[in-house]
Amino acid sequence: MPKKTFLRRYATVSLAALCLSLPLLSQAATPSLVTPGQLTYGTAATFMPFEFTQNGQLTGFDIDLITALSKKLALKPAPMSMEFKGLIPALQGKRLDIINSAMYINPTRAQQVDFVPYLKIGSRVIVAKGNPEKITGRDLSLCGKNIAVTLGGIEESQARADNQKCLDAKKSAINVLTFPAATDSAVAVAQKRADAEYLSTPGAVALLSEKGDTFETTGPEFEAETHIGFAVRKGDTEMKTLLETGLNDLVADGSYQKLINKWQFPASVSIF
Amino acid sequence: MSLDLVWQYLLSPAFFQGAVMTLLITVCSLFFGVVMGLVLALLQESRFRAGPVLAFFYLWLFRGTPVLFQIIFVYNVLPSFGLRFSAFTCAVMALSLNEGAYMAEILRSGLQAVRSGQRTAGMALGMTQGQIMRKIVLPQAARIVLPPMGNQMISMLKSSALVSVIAVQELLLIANQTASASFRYFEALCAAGIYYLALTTVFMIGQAWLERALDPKKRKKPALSLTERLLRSSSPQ
Repeated sequence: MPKKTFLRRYATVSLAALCLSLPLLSQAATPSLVTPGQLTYGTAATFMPFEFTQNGQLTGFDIDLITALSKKLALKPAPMSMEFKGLIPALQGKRLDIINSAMYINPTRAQQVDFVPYLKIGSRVIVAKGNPEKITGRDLSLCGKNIAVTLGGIEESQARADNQKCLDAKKSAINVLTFPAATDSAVAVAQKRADAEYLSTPGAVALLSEKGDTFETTGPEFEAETHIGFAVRKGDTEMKTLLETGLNDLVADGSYQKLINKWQFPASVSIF
Repeated sequence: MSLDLVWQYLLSPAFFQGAVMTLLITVCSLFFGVVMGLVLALLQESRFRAGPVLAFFYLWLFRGTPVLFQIIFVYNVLPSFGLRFSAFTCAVMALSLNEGAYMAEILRSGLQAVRSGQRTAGMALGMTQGQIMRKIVLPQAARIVLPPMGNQMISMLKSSALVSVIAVQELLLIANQTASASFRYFEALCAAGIYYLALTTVFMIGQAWLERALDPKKRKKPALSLTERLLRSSSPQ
């Protein structure tokens, strides 16, 4: 059966060739950039309105900001979409020049990466429509309740701190439920598995504009001083300076403010 | 829950591309995984002392660590040793290395299931070692390993979702990204689930066809309809 053998061999060879040729080896890296002429940034596009995909296109405040910034630096922005937990390893493994994923700045993260802050955001308490658990905001009314937060997000540390406050006040503990993305937390609230969710103010605005019939906010905004920033490799001062210069240019010519207006963020988010 | 939206997601190019990526990763990783597994299974059977020791170390390492860790390691740590591959290659590499360890055990069980008396009989007929392997052991072993390999293939289809952590745009990542923009979680996941089921169906049909092709007894029977064939292949006979 020469024909059959040939077919089999052909199938094997073409399969192997397909696997090997598809991923082209990436180009040799210059000391400062992963790919010369490009600003390769990592983003977890599951955080509306900062970075998300719409009709297959990456979009959001952060995406617009980095596009404007790259233009100032005469670089081509090259996004890499991945899960949030893959970002810091990829930056440290020199797969990315920077992380641009609305990453909030905390001391633990600052030990691993250097930050260039560009925005400050607060958080809100989100509950199911009608507020069945009568939660009045980020206070002791949360004790004994289930709170959904994003794993590793600032909201998680806030919820853990609140749990301590409840315990100190001799009330029952908060059950902190951590989810991989803000969307999962929202689903948990909608399904009444969680009684409340902590969400960044811009995230809350986006959620309510899409699903205003399912959710509502309660209580005032809190911790409005949380800074978010681009992350660069520890000690990569060149990149840090580059980003800071570019950012200052954007502030000076008004494009920074324009973006804040475009995405309907409150004026308090600006740090300049 | 809106069925229209599920339908819309199903037909969207983003989901389709995600499904193609998932299929491509699965098929490539399976191919290299089986090759790897075969090498390891033969190493375990080999007469040289180093063979089994090497195979044992490999199995210990790749079955003993989470696949997610292996994926991140290949993608982010190897570049510091000067080995730099694209995200897709890294994904296939990590999954094949992991798959190889499991395939090795499946293949070894198949090889050992062919009794040694049959090899002796082959030798008595004057066959060479290679001929015995090709004409006696492998045809029988292939039939034995197919059902567990089918399991392994389908579980690989789903573990391919883990590679989203290294920026490979596979099906589940697309679904998550879509859901996070529209907050329509169930619709996006349903669409992804339908794609996964469709791919699983293809794999199961392939398995049923292979089982028939490899078994001379089944081959002689009149062809069964597709559903009958699927039902038979998944039930004991």
